[in-house]
Amino acid sequence: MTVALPITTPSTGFLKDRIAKPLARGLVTILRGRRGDRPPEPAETRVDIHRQPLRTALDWHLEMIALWKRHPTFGPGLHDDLKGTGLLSRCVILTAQDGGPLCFRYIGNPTRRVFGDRWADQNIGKPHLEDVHSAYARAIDAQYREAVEGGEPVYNHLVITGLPRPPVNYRHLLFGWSLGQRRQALLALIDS
Amino acid sequence: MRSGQRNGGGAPEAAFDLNMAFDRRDTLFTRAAEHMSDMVANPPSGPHAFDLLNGGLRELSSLMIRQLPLTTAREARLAHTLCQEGIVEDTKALALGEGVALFLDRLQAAADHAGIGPAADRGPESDVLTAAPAQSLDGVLATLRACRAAMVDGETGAERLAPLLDEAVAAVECLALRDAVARFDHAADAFEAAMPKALPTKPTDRMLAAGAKAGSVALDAARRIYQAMASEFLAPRKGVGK
Repeated sequence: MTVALPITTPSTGFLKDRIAKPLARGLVTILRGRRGDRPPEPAETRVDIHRQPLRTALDWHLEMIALWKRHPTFGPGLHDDLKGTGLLSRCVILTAQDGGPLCFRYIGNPTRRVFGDRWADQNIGKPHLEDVHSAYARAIDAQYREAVEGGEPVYNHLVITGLPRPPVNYRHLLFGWSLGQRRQALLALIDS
Repeated sequence: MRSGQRNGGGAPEAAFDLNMAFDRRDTLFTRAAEHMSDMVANPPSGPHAFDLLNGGLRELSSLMIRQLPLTTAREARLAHTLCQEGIVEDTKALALGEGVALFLDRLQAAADHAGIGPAADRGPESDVLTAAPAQSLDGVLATLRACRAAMVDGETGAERLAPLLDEAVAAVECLALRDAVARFDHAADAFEAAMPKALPTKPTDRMLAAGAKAGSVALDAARRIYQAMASEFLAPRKGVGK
C-alpha cells in the first residue's frame, strides 16, 4: 500500500532559510572576501622584450630610419617632416633637460588607445618613470636609455601582460638624440 | 659608431670635448671642428701654413652659420661685407638669418673696436697677439682675424697662435651649443603643442593654473569653473533622443 503524502508548495520562509540565506552569505563572501582576508592583489605586470633585427623592419619603419638620418639633431625640421610623412601620430616623444628624467612631450594614437586619452593628457610633461604602470615604465627605461646613449636605432617586439585589459602585443622602433647632458630626446615609433 | 667617439669609452684626446657640445653623430660641423682641433694641436708650418689655416677657419665659419636658423637675409650690407672678407661664400651670406646677422654685426663692431676690421690699418703684431682673450662670441671674429693677420706676417711662432685658435674654437663651440639647445627646445614645444588632446573630467594642475592666470581668478574658482564646463561638455546634448 502506498501512502500518498500530500504535495504542498514550500513556504517562502522555508526557501529563505534553506536556500536564500546560504546563497546570500556566499555572494557576500565572494564579494568581500573572507573575514580578515586581504583584498586580492592586482595581477603583476610582465613585460617581455625581444630585440628584432632591423632587416625585418617594415617599409614605414625604414622611412623613419631615413628621416632620422636626415636629422642628426633634434630640431624644428624633424617635427615638420614627421607631420608631413604622417608618422607623427604613431610616435611617443620624450625629452630630458640638464640631466633630468625623460618626460613625455607627445603621445600618439597607438599608446592612447591602450592607456586612454585621460592618461595621456595627464602625463604630458611628467617623467615616464612616474607612470602608474610602473613595472612597464621600469622595463622600458633601459631600452630608452640604450637608444639615447647608444646613437643607433633600437627595434623591439614587446608583449605586456597583467594590465587591466588583454595582453598588449606590439613592436617599437626607438631613436635617440643627445646634446651631452644638456638635452636628450627619445622617439618611439609604435607599430600596433 | 656615428660620432667618431666610442660609446662609453674614455674622453677623447681632442683639445675640447665635442660630445659635450654636439650631437654624438658624425656631422660636417664636428668633422670641421675636429680638423681645426688637430690644427691647434699641431699648428701648420711652411709655405702653405696660411692656406691650411685659412681654409680651416673658413670651413668652420661657414658650417657654423649653417647651424643657425636660415631665413631671409636682413642685412644685405653685412652679407656683402662678409663676402668681401672671405668669411662666407656669397650664397651662404644671402641665406643668413636675422639672428646670424645680428651676431655678425656685433662681431664686426668688436673687430672694428679692436682695430682689426677691414677699414682699419692692421696694428703691430704685438698688439694683435696681446689683445684681450675672447670671452664671448663677440671676440671670435677678432681672434680669427688676429690669427690670420699674424700668419700673413709670417713672423709669429705657431706656439703663440695655438691658444688664440683654441679660444676661438671654444667660442664657436659655445655658439653652436646654445643654438642647438634653442632648436631642441623649440622642437620639443612644437611636438607637445601638436598632441591631440581630449577634455579630461579632471583637469591637470597646469591647466588649472593657466585658467586661473588667464581669468585672473583664484585656483579654487578656476577649478569650479572647469568642473561646470566639464559637466556641460560631458552631458548628453540637449534635444538628442527626443
